[in-house]
Amino acid sequence: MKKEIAILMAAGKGERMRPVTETTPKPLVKVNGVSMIETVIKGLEHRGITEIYVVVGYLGEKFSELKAKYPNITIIENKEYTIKNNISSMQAACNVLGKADCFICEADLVVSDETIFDKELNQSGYYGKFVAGHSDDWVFDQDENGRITRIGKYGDDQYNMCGLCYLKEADALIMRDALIEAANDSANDNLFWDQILDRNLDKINLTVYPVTDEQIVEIDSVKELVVFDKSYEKYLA
Amino acid sequence: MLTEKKFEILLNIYKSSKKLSQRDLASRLDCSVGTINKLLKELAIEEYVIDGNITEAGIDALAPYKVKRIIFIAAGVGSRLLPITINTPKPLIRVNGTRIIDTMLDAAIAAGIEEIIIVRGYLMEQFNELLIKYPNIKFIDNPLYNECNNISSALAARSYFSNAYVCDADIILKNKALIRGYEYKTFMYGVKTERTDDWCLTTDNNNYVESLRIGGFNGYREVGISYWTKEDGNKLLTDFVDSFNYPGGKEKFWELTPLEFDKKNYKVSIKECNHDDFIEIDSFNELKKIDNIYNI
Repeated sequence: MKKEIAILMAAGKGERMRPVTETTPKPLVKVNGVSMIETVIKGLEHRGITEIYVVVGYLGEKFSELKAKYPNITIIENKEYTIKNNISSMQAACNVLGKADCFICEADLVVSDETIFDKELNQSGYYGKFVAGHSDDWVFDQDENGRITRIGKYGDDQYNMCGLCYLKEADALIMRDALIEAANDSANDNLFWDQILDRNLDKINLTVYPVTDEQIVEIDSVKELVVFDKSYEKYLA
Repeated sequence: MLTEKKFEILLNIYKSSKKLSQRDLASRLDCSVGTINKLLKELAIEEYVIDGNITEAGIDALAPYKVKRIIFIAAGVGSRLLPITINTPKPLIRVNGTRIIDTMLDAAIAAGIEEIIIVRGYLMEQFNELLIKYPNIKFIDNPLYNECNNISSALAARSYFSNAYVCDADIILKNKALIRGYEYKTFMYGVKTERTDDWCLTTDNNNYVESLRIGGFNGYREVGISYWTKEDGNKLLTDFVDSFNYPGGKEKFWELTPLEFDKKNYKVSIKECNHDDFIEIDSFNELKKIDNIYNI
């Protein structure tokens, strides 16, 4: 198989998970003894990907432990994480974006089923979870062929974003140029990187690769964390 | 060879940014102005002090007492602070934005102590993050941290105990002056208590430690900072091995080696310090009180 790389976005402050994230960046929070980002790294390694870039910001020095355990990861520092949205993490990774087919992953996922990385990925796309009824989250509008026509908030009976994206090399190059271009205008500073992708849907043919709730778990609050790992119960006491 | 009082006078003159009067020295050393006057005359005859300033010879006289290193015992699990210690060893927890251990590291660096050693165990790889701010730290790994008491950490670091401060790594230091660049004798810091049910040091008439036990009256609460001279450090090098291998030795606190098991070999003084020189956090609820961010 052609070489693939992965970019993991791990710079955020994890404010919704306070106070657990006061001393630990959210991707390094352990759920039943394993940190969230490790479940993603293990999934990528399961696919045979060894070239992994981790973009860090908040408590970035904490990731030296991850580097000690997985020496083949490369740490990229996002110096703008406090003043820009996650667009800054992708801009910090522009040097590697476009060098191969590429996974772009949020680093605070719990991948409970590695086989989601076994999928045959013939074109660029987002992993998505189908949500029946209304969703206030990020969703994908699709045309009759399944091509994504809008990436945005709110929708009904649609696939929802779950933090994993796959870009073919040529599409990654388009995104790299668009991200560099977007850096020239400070009006873009508060954007999610996905919104830059949304602006380029005419050039980039994106599909949805379905996954289920059980395969990728998203934990956004201490309450949700306690559901999966009882040892955090005392935070709520 | 200096006497302790002369050592303290020389060190105070050396480290003070302003010129100290005899009255200043008397209050710092807790003795009479007459004594200071007499000792200053002797120091002048020895040419260690001229016109109230320390000489090159005076600085040379202090050299044998220079603190070589500071050792942090940081291997523990910190189970009293669960659940925050699931992800982070206690010394690396941030309290009001600053890592606990940084308060001690900054004081050691300010005192000019060059060698910093951290004995680590639980979540040991996480301590690597300290190298970004403190690139000179030397780590010693204690693989036995989970099955033995903290004597296993002392054993792992036993060859470094001479001219060394030995500190618990989970103290938030408020009074940085407690860590100095020069020390004269082996001592432990203690806070005077009328009554305690915590670990407690009792002393004899010469202010040497008589015993370390749980609970007591009119003793000193151990705060977890001690200093060991070259001679005492060298004795500990072999005594730790003996006491560790003695039946039940692995379950002991390292302090019991000099204070109980091999007590005859050591004279450990108590240096009194104040309750508010430190903050100790012994439970998650206490952490919540000190740093409101942990309240949800």
